[in-house]
Amino acid sequence: MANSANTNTVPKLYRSVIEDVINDVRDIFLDEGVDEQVLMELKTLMKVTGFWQLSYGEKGLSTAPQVIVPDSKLIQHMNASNMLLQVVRAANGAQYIIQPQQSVVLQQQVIPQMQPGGVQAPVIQQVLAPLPGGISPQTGVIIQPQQILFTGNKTQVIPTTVAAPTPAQAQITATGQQQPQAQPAQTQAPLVLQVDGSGDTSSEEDEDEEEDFDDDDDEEEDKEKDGAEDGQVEEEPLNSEDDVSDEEGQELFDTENVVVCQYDKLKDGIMNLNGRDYIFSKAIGDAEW
Amino acid sequence: MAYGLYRNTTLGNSLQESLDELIQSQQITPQLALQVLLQFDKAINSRLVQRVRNRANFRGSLNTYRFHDNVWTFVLNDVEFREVTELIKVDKVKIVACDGKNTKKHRRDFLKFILALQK
Repeated sequence: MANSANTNTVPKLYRSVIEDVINDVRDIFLDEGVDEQVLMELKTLMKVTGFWQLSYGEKGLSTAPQVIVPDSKLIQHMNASNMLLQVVRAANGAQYIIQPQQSVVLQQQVIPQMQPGGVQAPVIQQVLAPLPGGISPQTGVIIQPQQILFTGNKTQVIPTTVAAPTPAQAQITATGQQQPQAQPAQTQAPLVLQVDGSGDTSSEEDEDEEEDFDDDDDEEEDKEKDGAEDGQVEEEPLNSEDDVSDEEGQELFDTENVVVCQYDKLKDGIMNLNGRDYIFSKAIGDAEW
Repeated sequence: MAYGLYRNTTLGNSLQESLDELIQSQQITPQLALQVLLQFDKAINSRLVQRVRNRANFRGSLNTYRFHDNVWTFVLNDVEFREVTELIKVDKVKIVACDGKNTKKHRRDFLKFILALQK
């Protein structure tokens, strides 16, 4: 298996791991009195969500995966809105709503969330298909967990993190219609798959902020010591600075390619680069600081 | 005790997502989910060692490095990863590495081996 292409090795490895896990936990499930059916469901879910990500990564943005996982929470709301929607939840936590061709009665809009506090989820991309216009046949809506808003005939706000809904809606109805025009060029394919939409802009910011972060590290430690002596007044602004850098860290985390492995030599690693998964038994490299 | 390092991978995340759904629909208990995750850790650790035998090379510039709780975290920029078959370029990558040599399991197994030899 040493020289086989990575694309063959990775799914095989994943499948064997899933099989192992399912078999190993079967006894545990039975001890707990859980039905075998649940075990099978777990297996299916793992395969579905895991391999969707895998196949998406391999095929790229042009083709659309056909796997659909109904999410009971969201479908409840959608059915109430007279829509037939299906939700795919990818392994990275993003949820994709696939909208069928016809039967689009409502205008749906998703508010891009750019809260100043730095929401962990990136900006939401949204594409709509109002019925009469009949624009793009199938559109996908990318929704981060807990950020869904439906406007139109029925207004339902599912999460509570939406800030200032009314003025925001007014703005978005104006901008929202411009966006579908720009976006269909990108999303001729049935699914919109731009989870990392904000990644491009934020990385530029991150670079600048990273440098500041590194430089400020030593200064902050000194300031904290002084602050402790002087009293609590200085600690609050210091703490807020800490929060800012933490959120930057989270942004970094969300948009980065990740390698997890073991050292002393970098070994037994799983990489996720540009959306694809790679595996190695040993990695060697040079990086200059 | 295998590392939970691999939980934040495509497969690990899909497992956690699936378990969360089962918990929310009350088909399993959180305790059971934890057991499953621990089993996953063992499975993926051992499978990686058994099944994977390829090397990778990389080159880039080191942006940050951190060593905390015996875990290395690097952030590299403008990196090229080289597998046998392909070349992958990324603007930014985070590498998280746990200590690969002193896991308790290694010690335990090693001790067992030595004891067995002495019999």
